[in-house]
Amino acid sequence: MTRLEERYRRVLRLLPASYRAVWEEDMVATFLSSVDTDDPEEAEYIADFGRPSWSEVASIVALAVRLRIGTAGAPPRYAAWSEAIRLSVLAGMLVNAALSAVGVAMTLWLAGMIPLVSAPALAEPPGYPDSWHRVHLFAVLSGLLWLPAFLALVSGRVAAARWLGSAAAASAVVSTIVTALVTHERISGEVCYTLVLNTVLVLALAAWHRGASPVDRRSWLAALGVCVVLVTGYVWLLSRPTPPLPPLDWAGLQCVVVVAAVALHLAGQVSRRRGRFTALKPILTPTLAIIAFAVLGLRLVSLLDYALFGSEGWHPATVMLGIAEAVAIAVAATVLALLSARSLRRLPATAADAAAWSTPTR
Amino acid sequence: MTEPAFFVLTALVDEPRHGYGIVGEVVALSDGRVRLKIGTLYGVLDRLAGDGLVQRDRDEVQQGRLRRYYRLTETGRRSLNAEAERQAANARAASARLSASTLTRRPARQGWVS
Repeated sequence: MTRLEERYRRVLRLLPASYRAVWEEDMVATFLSSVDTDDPEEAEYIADFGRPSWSEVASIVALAVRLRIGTAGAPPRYAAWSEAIRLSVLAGMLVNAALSAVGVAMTLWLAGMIPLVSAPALAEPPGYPDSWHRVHLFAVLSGLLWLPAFLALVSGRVAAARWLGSAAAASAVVSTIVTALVTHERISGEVCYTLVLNTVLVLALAAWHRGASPVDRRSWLAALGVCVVLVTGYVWLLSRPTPPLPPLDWAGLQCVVVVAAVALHLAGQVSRRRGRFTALKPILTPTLAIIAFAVLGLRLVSLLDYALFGSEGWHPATVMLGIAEAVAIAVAATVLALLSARSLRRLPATAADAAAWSTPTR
Repeated sequence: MTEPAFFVLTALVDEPRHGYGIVGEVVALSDGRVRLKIGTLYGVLDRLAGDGLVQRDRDEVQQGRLRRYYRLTETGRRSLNAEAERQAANARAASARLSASTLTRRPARQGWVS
């Protein structure tokens, strides 16, 4: 085996083992034929020092991603992984949808446009130019796109969800940059992290392929209601005129909710093993692991923001509590990751032939 | 049907071909416009095999290397025929509209210049 072949086979390791079992030898033969040359000296040089081109590597990476998250009829291990990604994306879209709905309600409330509910006496952000209002209105209204994106997703209209989600993510980037330019304020790490997460959410919508299991619409709509109530309550707490603010910032609230969900899930799993509770889906373990790592990232980035820019305006205990939350969510994420790896490893990851891996032509 | 899938099926119409043979034939068929990367080719072949449009023909070993040949199935031939007719109909509609537009088009400001 030449060193070029070794290098190419190393790239092919990105593909699932079951896929390689069917296609690897043929792919290697085709690749080596594509770099063949009549000049023996050049052929020897390529065999020793040649490398697969970046475009070849990119095509393998794209295939590996598609097989793992976007293929109908995948072996159970990858099908479970794909399902966990879909549930995590739904959870992310749910939070964005709830936040955007509450954001619009808050804007109307602050503008005194909600009848029978008096607007809070909040001070205008100091030194902000008039144009800030227009930018803020654009941000709030374009953010509202997350709501139809989520509703489209739970209704099975994935293409519409992709378009609406992409528009919402793109407009969030635009409004963040314009806001920073208008107000001359620096963009916080937390905001940047959220923008990246939005992009990942939209890209991960690729995990919805034709064979994806349907979304439980009723449960997710109920979850949207619960999430809106939770966010509204939190925002109302923040908007109370009497300081200090509660010691729970946005990342902290997410940590508390996720850690509570993890604790409930683990308790449920224990009961399930004892045969008391069988309704829990094992797929929730990797799903919660993905969510816990995403929230851990948010928590760490927001703590870094406090370290760099200070935590003025927040409750004095916010930072210390934030560190404790980071530890708790890190522990939860690690435990879930270990449990997920163990449960996914038990699922078969090999297919007998190519048909088991094949996806229908779109 | 995607463009690479269309060309891969077309490359297999006259005879079974191996992976590299398909790559070369697709370059020729598309006048050099479509150059399939290996990952793309095998992603397409995998889907087409799963849909029953192509199937393995035979394996050969040449210069110590495996050469697996693929051929078009009857379903694949019918599917390609239907796609080719659809594309031809689209092209005819566009050409007819363009021809009509060329015949009726006038310079934008003709008649206004004194």
